[in-house]
Amino acid sequence: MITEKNQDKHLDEMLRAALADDLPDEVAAGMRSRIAAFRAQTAEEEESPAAFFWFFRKGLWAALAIGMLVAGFLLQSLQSRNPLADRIALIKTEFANPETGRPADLHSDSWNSAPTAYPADNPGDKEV
Amino acid sequence: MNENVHRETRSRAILRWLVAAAFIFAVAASGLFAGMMNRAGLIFLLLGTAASVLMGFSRTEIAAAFRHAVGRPGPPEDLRRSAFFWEAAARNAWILGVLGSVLNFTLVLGGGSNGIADISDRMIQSFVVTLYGLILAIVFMVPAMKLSRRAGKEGFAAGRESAGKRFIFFERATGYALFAVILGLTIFSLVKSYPPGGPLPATRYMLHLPAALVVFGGAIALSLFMGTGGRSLTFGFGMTGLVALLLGLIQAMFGFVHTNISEIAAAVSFIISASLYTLLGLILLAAPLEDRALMDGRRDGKGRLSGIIWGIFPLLAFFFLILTWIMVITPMKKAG
Repeated sequence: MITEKNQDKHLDEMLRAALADDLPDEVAAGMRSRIAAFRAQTAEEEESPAAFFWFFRKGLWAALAIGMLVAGFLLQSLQSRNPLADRIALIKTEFANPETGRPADLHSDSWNSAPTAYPADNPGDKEV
Repeated sequence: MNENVHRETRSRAILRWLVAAAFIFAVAASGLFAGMMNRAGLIFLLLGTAASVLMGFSRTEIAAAFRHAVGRPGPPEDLRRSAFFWEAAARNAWILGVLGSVLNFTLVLGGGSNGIADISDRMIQSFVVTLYGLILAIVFMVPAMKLSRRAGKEGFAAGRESAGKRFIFFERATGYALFAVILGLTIFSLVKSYPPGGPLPATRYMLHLPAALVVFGGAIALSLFMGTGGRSLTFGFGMTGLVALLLGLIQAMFGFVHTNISEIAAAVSFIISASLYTLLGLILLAAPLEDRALMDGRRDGKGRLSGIIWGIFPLLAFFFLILTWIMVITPMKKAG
């Protein structure tokens, strides 16, 4: 442990001797300008368009996602029609009238009752 | 001496697997459970599980997991990785079992029917796929538990570079392609078996805009707030799916109170579609990303919350599927 500390001490002394504050003026000026350029570049990068676009893109995604979520909830609460829901309504009315074996309210215009079958489903079929 | 012991262990393991396979084959051949047969569902489950593990693991990791499962020794870290592979396979089988049921149920509802008895029978047949998934998950859990015990209780070594990392792109692409083919073939097979007169464009019944908007919008929003990665996606899909299921259930209950068939139908279709999209999101996006993060050493352990979501959400989706079945078959006269 003590040996290690001694080694560190020697190393410190060597570094101090090698990097003494006696740089020529032009070298010191060059270093100062490089440090200034580095600082300016870092500051520029922080405000660069890429960073701006990244945040903008992330914000855009978040807005899009929340928009999708709200639109989905609204569409569902408004009971927008879709083929699966129509089929379920048709089957449910079929279960309600098992003796007829067919939907009870096929010709209804209102969607408060079971909807009509899609004509495209069975183009050859005709209602009897 | 050591070589003989290894050979003996491997022979014993192979013999055990052969006896188990023979038993399953004998039960299937006996015809005792003929009513429990859903061939399309079974094929979907088996090939789907194979495709899903390819999405998250490299060939080297899969081969090592099989070698370790039949008794080949290895360092604890490798055994731990193989145990995780089998756990992931069990998880995928469980999720895919429920996904198969939801898919089958959707197609039964969308397909034509030969009367009430026929459609009821096919609806119940779709639940059988979950049973297959559960059995397959239990089978995969056996090597997972045995390997975990052999590996000890240490966590994963974080930062360790996986041997198969460079090849994962090929496996992932193959896994997704295989899954797409299996999904297409399963839909085709299920639709083909329905009585003539049934509406053939089955995909139309699988596309439900409100459910898709809620599930994907919610999952993206939550994962953006949580940060990138598989865990945030698992959380996003799981939580959004849960909200969607509850929303559908409440809407259906209102439908029963208002004796409004269209309201119930809208709610039931929302529940089924939201389950379908959530399970697809979990198996296709969240699970492979999370598996890869762990195998590549970017995570030092399995996510407890993710584990809960993977276990609980499919179970909830299955219960909600039973609820929707009850809602569909419950007779109801039109109000007014």
